[in-house]
Amino acid sequence: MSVESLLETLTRRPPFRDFVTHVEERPARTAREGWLAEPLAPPLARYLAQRGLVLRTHQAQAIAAIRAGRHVLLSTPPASGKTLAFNLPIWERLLADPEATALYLYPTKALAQDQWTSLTALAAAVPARVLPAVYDGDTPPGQRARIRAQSRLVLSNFYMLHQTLGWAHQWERFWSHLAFVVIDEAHVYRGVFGSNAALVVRRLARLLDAVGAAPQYVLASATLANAAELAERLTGVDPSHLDVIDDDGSARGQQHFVFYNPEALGPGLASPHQETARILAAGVAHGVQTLVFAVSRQLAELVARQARALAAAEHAPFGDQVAPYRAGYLPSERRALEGDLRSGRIRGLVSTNALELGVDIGSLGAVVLSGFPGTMVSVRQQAGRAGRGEDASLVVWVPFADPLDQYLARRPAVFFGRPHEHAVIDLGNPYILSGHLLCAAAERPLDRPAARRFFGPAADGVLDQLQARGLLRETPRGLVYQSRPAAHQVVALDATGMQATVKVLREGEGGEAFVLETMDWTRALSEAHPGAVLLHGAETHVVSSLDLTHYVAAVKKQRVDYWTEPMKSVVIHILEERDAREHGALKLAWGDVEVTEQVVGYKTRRGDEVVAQDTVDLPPVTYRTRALWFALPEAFSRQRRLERANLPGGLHGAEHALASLMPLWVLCDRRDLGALSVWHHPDTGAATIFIHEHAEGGIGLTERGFDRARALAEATHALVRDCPCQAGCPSCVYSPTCSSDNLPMDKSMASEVLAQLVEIPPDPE
Amino acid sequence: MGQEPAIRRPAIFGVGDYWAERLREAPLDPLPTAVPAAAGRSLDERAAQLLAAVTARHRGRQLGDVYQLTDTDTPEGACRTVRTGEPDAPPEVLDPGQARQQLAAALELVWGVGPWHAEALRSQGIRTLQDLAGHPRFGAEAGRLWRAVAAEDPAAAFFAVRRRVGASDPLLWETRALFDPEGFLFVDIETLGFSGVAAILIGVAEWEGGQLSICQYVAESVGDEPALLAALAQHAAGKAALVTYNGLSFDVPMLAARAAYYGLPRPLAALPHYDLVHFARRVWRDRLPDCQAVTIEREVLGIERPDDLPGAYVPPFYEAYQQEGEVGPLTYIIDHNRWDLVGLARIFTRLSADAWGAGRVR
Repeated sequence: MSVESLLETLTRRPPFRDFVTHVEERPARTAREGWLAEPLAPPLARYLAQRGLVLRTHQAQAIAAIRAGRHVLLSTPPASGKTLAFNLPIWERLLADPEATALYLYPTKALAQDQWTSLTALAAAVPARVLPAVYDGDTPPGQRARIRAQSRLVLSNFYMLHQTLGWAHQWERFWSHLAFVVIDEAHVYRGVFGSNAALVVRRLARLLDAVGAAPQYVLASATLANAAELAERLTGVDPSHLDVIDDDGSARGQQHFVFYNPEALGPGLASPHQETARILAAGVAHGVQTLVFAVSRQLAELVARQARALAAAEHAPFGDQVAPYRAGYLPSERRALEGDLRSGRIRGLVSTNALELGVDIGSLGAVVLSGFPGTMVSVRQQAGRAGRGEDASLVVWVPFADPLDQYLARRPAVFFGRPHEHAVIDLGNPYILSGHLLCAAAERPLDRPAARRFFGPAADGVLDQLQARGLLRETPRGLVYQSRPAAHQVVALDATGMQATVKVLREGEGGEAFVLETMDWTRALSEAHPGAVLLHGAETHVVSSLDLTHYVAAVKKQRVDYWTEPMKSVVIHILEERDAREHGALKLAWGDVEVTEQVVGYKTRRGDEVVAQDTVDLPPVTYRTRALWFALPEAFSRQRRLERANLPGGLHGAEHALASLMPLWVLCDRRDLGALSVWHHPDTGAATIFIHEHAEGGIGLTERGFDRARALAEATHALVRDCPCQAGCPSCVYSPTCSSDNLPMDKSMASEVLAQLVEIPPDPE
Repeated sequence: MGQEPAIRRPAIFGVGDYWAERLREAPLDPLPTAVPAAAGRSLDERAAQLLAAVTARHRGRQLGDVYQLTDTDTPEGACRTVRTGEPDAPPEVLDPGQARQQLAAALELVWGVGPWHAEALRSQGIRTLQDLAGHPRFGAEAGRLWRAVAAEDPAAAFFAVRRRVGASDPLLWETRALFDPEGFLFVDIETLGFSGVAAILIGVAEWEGGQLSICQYVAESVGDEPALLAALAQHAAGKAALVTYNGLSFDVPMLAARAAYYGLPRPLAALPHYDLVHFARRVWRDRLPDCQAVTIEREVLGIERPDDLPGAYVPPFYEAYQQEGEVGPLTYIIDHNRWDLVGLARIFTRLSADAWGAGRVR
């Protein structure tokens, strides 16, 4: 009712209606009931009946597959009952085999706690001692021995598993009877974290193999273009033993999906944050529980502030019903906010992606996505927050003036079409692999055949290096770890290479300095350079110094109404070309590169305006990673030079647009990629556009990008060619984070360059 | 752009160098509070001097030039062994009869008998576990306890008492008198850290013919660790009980983890275990700044170790030995461990001599 009136307000009333460029009606769908060949074990059947639950087709398929001993990937939308689908057959086994155990892995502690609550209810309904228990960093030491000795279902996370594998002898009962490993929210395990997680699974598998256990892997994932591949790479299971279940048989309420484009009236005429705040205020005024997802915590704070200001300006009483929600809150603060949202005391919540994963916050009438959250996976997860159950719901997407956002905003068919994003896991990054081989050797002597079998062919060369450096020692049992401290203490799951966390020290008012937060090294370079404005909570801080040898940034708390953006100089040197596709003199390649970055200054912005530029004195930093590059035919470049055309401006624009759209095929954060264009690169001898990874050693993003480069070039060409602006805008070739202030720049030349690039041979299937 | 050279991220080098650097930079496990802060990552001045001195003193020598060295054969290979005797740490003479009396009078050892109950029972003339054996409610368990104490099975008595009392309880301490002193095995190990790293020396000591015989199994490299563990298992085979300082928290779980790492049987698991740190805390906590073994040696036994540094220096000294190939730093570790073993036996004896007061079940 109120959702419909909110929709009507948005689509019919000024000023809202002018920004609504598309409304996708996603019809309600009725449920399809699923049937089992063998009925469920009676206690589980009773459990379902008591709750009035009926199995859907995909749930029945999952139950049949798990009963048959298959590895299973469930890839259906949020709220489709994936958890129930795997719990039923797993618990059937726990009932039938009083020794069998199961490990459930979640990406966050909060999610594990949430699931523990419902599993405890299931445990109470069945006549078996399962004793589900959360075992993570928060588990009191006094309870741990009992859990290891008795629990048959442990909920944990990869961080804890990483720490715990060295204590396998304490887990002997649990590991030797392990029948299932459940990995929920599997799509989260991609990129650096996913590659680390995949190697933790290999370490677990090797220890399990030694005690004769070979569990079934059960994964639940959001929809991806390559969910099955992700499942295989994450767990190492043979594809022929994996069943993919993705045909959702659950009911769904009607969903109105609104594209609300602040760029609709012309470039830069409306602020997406202001519009988001306005939609939020409208939602609250209509009595609709509304959740805004902002792409950063800074923007979450900003939108909440603006929505409250709108309420104050209109003398509306709902100002105090809007609150920000961040991952940085203490658990007690988060619980209180979640409770307030459930009870309706708070109607508007502005969140970062902290709420994206399935923690239960009750049903919401409307969800507003402020900006493109980076991936379609996140779009679906966040939109799935609206209208749990069969009620109608509203999703409003407010795209930013940015190439990826505007590309999608103008192409609803791509947005709602079949998934195209690939989640990449790389088992070959030597920096990641070597850390886990050290851990593995510290968990149980590691022999070469086992290393190859569980860690792949790259293991041998890495082990040679670790042995040569004296960290591992060859013994008759295999390689043993002979260094100190314990290997797992230096291997971090969210880093390749040097974890290098920079401590941000806040100088206290007359008191001692304290650590405000820590951030990783590369981020510190861009966000904690001297002069940078750092937002922590709702407070702004100004960085006074950054010491890159001791990893310390000093900040002072200071109220400012501006923010800063770094300007960098980047140099790329090609070390080795690994593969190439050519069309005449046009060449696409990828390989190993050395990147040297130096932050040379920063821009100060107030609102959308640059008010100052300053220089900083920081040393250049060199790291090794991977890149893909387009080298243009010399004839093309020469011709443009003869015409005195702005070739550098064209390359620069094409570079921005290509890097912006690449995450549409290769799941990653835009900040995971860097880009560079040069009109003559010494290593290629041609005008060249590079897209490189920021992760040391690379994590497979460029390799996958290479395989999708033709699609990327075509989409980018269409984006630039079709953009209604005259001379380039932030929605096509301008980048707000450009280190050289979008100079030189030439939109029509960029379009010409891109027209060249689409000539590369077609992508492999 | 500035002219200074680029900071080359360590990852630019080989992964071996990379992890060696990361491990070198990593904070070590938190140290016990009484260990000087300087015993952390880098050697402090005194330690560096000692390291240089012991290295110079033994430069060019082999371990066999410094100690009487033998090889102990084990299924996991031979194991370098240093055997010495210590006449200045004789066994104490204990009276098992008196201990038996003490234990028999502890009615509170029976599940369900509290201080109030015990008083009531005593007023009825039930003064020993033997008397209580006829009781309708407590009889069965009292009988079992009595048989364990009275029979010549000190291990059974230890475990029966341990089930009911804490690791520092005077009644548990009483059970030691039921053992033949030659059945005790004193154990102290040296490792490269607190968890997930190798043990590099396992020292054991026992009373034989009125003196303390010390046997130290030494790893010349981490590759010898399985042989060390096997040698310990062989050595412990005939022994009746284990004595350690902090072994409940450290030595025994560490040895269990290391044995599990190699797939070897868990050593020492079945032996009664007297961890002296718990008894020492109960006796001396109020009188000493802390209850580390060295503190008790110095303050209670009046023994000052020459040239000794905290155990936290063992890992860097062992690393120096591995890297330089000079045995000097290893001799420091062997000597340090020997001091620990002798101190352990002396504290054991001294604990008996110091009065406890009446036994009490918590």
